[in-house]
Amino acid sequence: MSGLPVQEMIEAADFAEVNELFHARGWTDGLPVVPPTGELVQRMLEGIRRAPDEVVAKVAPRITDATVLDIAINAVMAGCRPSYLPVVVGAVEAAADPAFNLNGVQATTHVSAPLIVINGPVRHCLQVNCGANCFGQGSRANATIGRALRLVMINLGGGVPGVTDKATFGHPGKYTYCVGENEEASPFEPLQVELGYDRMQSTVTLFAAEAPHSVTDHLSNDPVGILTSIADALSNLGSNNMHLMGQAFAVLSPEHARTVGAARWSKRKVKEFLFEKARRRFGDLTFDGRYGKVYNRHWPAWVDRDDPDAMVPMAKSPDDFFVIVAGGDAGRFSLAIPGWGELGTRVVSRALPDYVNTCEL
Amino acid sequence: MTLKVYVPVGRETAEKAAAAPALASLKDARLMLLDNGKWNGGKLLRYTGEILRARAPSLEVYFERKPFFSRTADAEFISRLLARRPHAVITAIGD
Repeated sequence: MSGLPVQEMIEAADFAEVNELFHARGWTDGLPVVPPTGELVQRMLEGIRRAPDEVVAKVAPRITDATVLDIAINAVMAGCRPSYLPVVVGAVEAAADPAFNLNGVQATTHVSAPLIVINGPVRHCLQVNCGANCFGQGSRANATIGRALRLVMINLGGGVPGVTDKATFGHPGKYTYCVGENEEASPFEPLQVELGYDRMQSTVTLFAAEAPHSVTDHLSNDPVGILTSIADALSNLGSNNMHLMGQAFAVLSPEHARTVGAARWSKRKVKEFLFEKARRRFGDLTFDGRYGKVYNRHWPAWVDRDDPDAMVPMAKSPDDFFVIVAGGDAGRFSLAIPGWGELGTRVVSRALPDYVNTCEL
Repeated sequence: MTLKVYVPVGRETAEKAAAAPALASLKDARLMLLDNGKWNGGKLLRYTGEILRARAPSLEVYFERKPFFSRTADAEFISRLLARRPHAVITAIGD
């Protein structure tokens, strides 16, 4: 452990006692953790070329200076390999960006959890699952990178359920919520290119998201049908976006993406279509006046509040719809993932260092 | 053989702030009602203001609303609030 900054350590008899101790102190997500011994933390730090005592972020709401060492400790606990650490650190940096509003994401009564989307060559080095069951179990990278961010939010950010994390329900993505984009199956430019990066740039992108909602469409054989199904799933009556506006993700399966791509629809056209279609009648949203007059200042001023048939959009612009491709080759399903809402949070990305693309770690 | 493990909680850096002392009297005081933007919190605040003004007619009550309930108020907004030099601030949350 030579060379590491001084950091408080405690002793326990064995693995089981470490876990009992950590659970009792609220330092876990409820699942067993890997004990962050000096040796394992030292090995974890070999995965990143940054000084252990470098402060990379202030983590809300507790407002803790998160050092590389602090994040490495939590990454060990999550079960990460050392090569995952730059991605975890990038995710923490993105989460601490004021635009993401981690303070609000941690504290809200809404269900949202940070969805991590990984793009670029690093996906292959880390074997991030971008294909079959990518939102489910089975991939160590997906499982532990997302879990490491959550442990940072708990231990450094102080997100304690019922105390500072006031989510009415939360959702299973609060254990881990991390996928890679299936760039190879996409007819569009991948997310990092849409966000202004080079295709060979590895990135991590965070979105405060509801749980993924399956969109079944085995009937449509063109973009209009498929995207109408997705737009409808995004703009359901209970969607947070319908009441607060804001960003949303549409995750196209490779089969759906092939159909949309074969019709030569660009990603821009897809986003514009979703913006136009993901709307609800003013009368539906206000229960036709059953509970009194509703204005809702979050909706655009141009929505005619006197016309029950006026259509209310769920976002302010086509740019608020993020379209990625992920999932397995088989299945005419896509996913609709509404967000937390306009002004509450925005999608934030961070470029990862080039050395993550070399697969040397 | 024991396991020596790191404590994973880092170091807190935020300054702790104590609650302001209660006002000795409402007479001639300036009271700010700070609505965080939640639907019903604002109603509760306005009602609270009415009750207090009924008790102390010289109480100056004014109402402010955060731009959005889910975001921390920015420095400019806080400066504007402080410029009104309230003796006390009451806020409320809740849907």
